[in-house]
Amino acid sequence: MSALITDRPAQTGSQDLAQRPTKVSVRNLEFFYGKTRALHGVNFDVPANAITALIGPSGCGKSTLLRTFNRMFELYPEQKATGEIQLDGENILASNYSLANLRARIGMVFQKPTPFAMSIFENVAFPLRHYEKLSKAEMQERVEIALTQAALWNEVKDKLDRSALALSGGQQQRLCIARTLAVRPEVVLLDEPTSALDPQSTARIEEFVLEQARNFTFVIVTHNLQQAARIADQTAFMLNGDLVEVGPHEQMFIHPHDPRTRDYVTGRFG
Amino acid sequence: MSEEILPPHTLRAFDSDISRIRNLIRTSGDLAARQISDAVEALVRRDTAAAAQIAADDGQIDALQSAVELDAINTISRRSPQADDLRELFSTIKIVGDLERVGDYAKNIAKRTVALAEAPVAPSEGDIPTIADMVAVMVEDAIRAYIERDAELARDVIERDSVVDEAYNALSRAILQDITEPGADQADRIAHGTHLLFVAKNLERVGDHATNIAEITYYSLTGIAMGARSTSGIV
Repeated sequence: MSALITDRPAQTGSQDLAQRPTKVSVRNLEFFYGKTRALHGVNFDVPANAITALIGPSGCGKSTLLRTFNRMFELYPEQKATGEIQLDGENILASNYSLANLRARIGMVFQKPTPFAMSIFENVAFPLRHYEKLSKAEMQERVEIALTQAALWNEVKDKLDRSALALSGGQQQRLCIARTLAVRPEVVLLDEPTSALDPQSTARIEEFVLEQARNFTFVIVTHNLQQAARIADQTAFMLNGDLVEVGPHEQMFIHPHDPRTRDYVTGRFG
Repeated sequence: MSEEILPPHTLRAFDSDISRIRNLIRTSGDLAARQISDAVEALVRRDTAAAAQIAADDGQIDALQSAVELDAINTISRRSPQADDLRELFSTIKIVGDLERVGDYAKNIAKRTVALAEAPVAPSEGDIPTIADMVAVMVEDAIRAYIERDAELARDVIERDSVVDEAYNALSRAILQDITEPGADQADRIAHGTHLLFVAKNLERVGDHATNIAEITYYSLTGIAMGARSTSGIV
């Protein structure tokens, strides 16, 4: 009988989490939109090969925090981050840290699927052509691996040359995930990746995240508390630019330490 | 000491759900405690009519258990509770299970009252109402701790269990002494005493269930599990 048992082990608990090495370490992070301070001295660690969820009400700074991880804000001159974000001990906010290197190591998936108006294959191959010189066979292999990791391969393997725009919303989002994974990032940032998707498509993406946490470090911003409860190993609650509390599932969703976290997760908030 | 009163939910229907379930628990707890007191009173008076009624009323506690379980599951499904709410709804399901067992013990005592209808009152029976009062109050207080969100009262109930265990041990020894005394009526005393030993054990178990309710209430309120209690002091 034991050979038939295929149960997954329980998701990461606090003890497992404490044993994980730190992948990203945020120290005294402040963020400014012009003169407005949107993050107030944020400190926390993102464990490697785990799923960290950022939760909090609209405007709390969770997406701002996520976007500092790959310096997306540098596109806007009036935006500025101070403090440190250490990726494997190196401060990625340092001016001499290569942006190209950073974007290869930390990928990002956005709220709305953003497929390029090209074939399914080319959508995934596009970043690979930018970052690496691969033979045709290597390119095909890497595209297949990325599509498989994003749990899309079986649905598109016979129509790789078709337009990505013909895919459903959920498939498009998984294609965008595959495009992000293709360059083999170490950290994957997900900014409300399922907010525009139906429950089944949402479940597929959650399953992908749970399945691939052994290969990547995930940081996900979500408005959906239940999604954080379902998939996160560690959850951070933000409020008005402060990181109020961060902890494993059993702390944040069963016995939160801070009354503000309790009020938020129990729906007693404002 | 009552715990901090939580602010209302943004979705006020959730507050109504919790209030409704607490009221059902209060009703079930009051009924279970009264059943124990009434069962022992019927035993002392050898009142078989009252005992039969107590046995018949056990169905009310069973029905309340089903009502709370269904309501709690429905609320969990609808509201996806977290943190304090999750702990409370989980606790309600455990608590009604314990109350249902208390009801069963009352019914069991009532059935033995029918069997003991013609038996004289043994000297050792005098302590049975005392223990019954202790455990009935424990049930009432454990439920009050739950309804009033009072962790200190829950802890107090838990600490009373050892007193019940000591009283039960003393009562059991007294009953055994009664039935081992030689005499012409010893066979009858053995038959009656055996029933009384079960009554004593039932009351001791009611104390355990009240303690369970207090422990799960304490967990519901604080997030801290009280852990397994030792039963090594019970004969």
